[in-house]
Amino acid sequence: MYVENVIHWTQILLAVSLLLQSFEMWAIANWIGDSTPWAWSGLKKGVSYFPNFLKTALDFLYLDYFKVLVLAQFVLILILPLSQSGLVITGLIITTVLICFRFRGVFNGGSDYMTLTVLFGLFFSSLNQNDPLLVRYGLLYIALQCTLSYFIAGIVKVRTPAWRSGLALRAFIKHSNYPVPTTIRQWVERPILMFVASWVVMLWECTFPLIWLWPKFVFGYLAVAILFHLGVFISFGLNRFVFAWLASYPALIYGVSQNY
Amino acid sequence: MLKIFLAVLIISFFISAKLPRILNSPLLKQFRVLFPSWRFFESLTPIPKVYYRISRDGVSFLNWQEFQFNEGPRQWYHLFYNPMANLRLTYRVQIEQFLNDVAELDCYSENFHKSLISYQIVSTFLKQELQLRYRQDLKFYQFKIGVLEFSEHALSARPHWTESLVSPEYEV
Repeated sequence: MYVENVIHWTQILLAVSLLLQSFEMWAIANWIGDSTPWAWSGLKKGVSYFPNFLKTALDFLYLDYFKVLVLAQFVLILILPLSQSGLVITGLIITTVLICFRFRGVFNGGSDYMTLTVLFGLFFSSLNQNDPLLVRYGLLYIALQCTLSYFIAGIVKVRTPAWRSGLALRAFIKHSNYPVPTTIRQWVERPILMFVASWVVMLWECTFPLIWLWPKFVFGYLAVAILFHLGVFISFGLNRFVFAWLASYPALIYGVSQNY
Repeated sequence: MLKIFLAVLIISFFISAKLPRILNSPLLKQFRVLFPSWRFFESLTPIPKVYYRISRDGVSFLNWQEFQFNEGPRQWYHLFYNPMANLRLTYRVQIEQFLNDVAELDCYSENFHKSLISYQIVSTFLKQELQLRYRQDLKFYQFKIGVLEFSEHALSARPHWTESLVSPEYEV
């Protein structure tokens, strides 16, 4: 697969993911003003140890110009698929970090992590487009982190007796604070189903790194990955994960197909 | 190339495994988005729960009831656009954060919770939600935060409720 195509498709998929996040953040910006739970006037206590000039800058940004920040990110997102400019990617990294900072570190957790992972990979690749090794390492960083995201998630589950028995999945669906649909909540009364579902997920996640040894299975694993993320959205409402991870797949396909 | 790849794999695995301890610094916590953690649904961790009760006359309180986020049925377009659900997710996270903050406090005083930003977010959010639901009926409210704990080894375990905080009675 030509590297240029991989980077181009990564940029397109990342732009789609960021665009959806940006639309949501524009709406959310209307709900985090004064007298709301996320009012900056209350949160700024958490950065009281910052130098005064930084505190003033953050007040300026978050009190009056948060929507300008979101709009700036929106403009950069539109440019992203058209250019491999390091400035655009740097701008997206900065705006993403500043938006997460506004919410005490992360807004959505996993999708923020993967978004920045892909951005950093693209940033490395953009540092010197005439250096094929640098371009390659940037994509491999994305591929590596994508692999780890599934593998580590699988390992921490399989080490837990409650996951091995199916009890953890049952507990999450039945008692978690996520808005699980009633139909799916009824499934927890089927212990065999919970057991099988838990092991399918764990086995798939733990064997994910094997696609680096047998690349012909990468599309099969990614098909399962897409179904997995859609299942998480249907069960728990986590929509951003679908597109954030999708943006890393071109780099993963490229990574496993290389000769090492 | 393979050696470099294996080295990066091992280092990244180590960092991800040790991440909770690395991020004890308040500054690093604010920038934790830069340190990816892939430990999703890691274990049967205690599940935070919030219960509340209201008073319509300012004299007597109704029974405690579990606070449930009011979410309508999931639609296909929520896959692409669901800002309120994602904002509500942040409140869920802050409830968990509050319990972590309480556990990290070195000393206990009667009003310790008021110093916590996570408590401020949670209490303001609850006030806002309860005002929307009960409107003029709401005169006073009170809430409590705790966790449902599960036995890791019992196949049919019933969760055990452990209370962490009962808030003061707030007048609206």
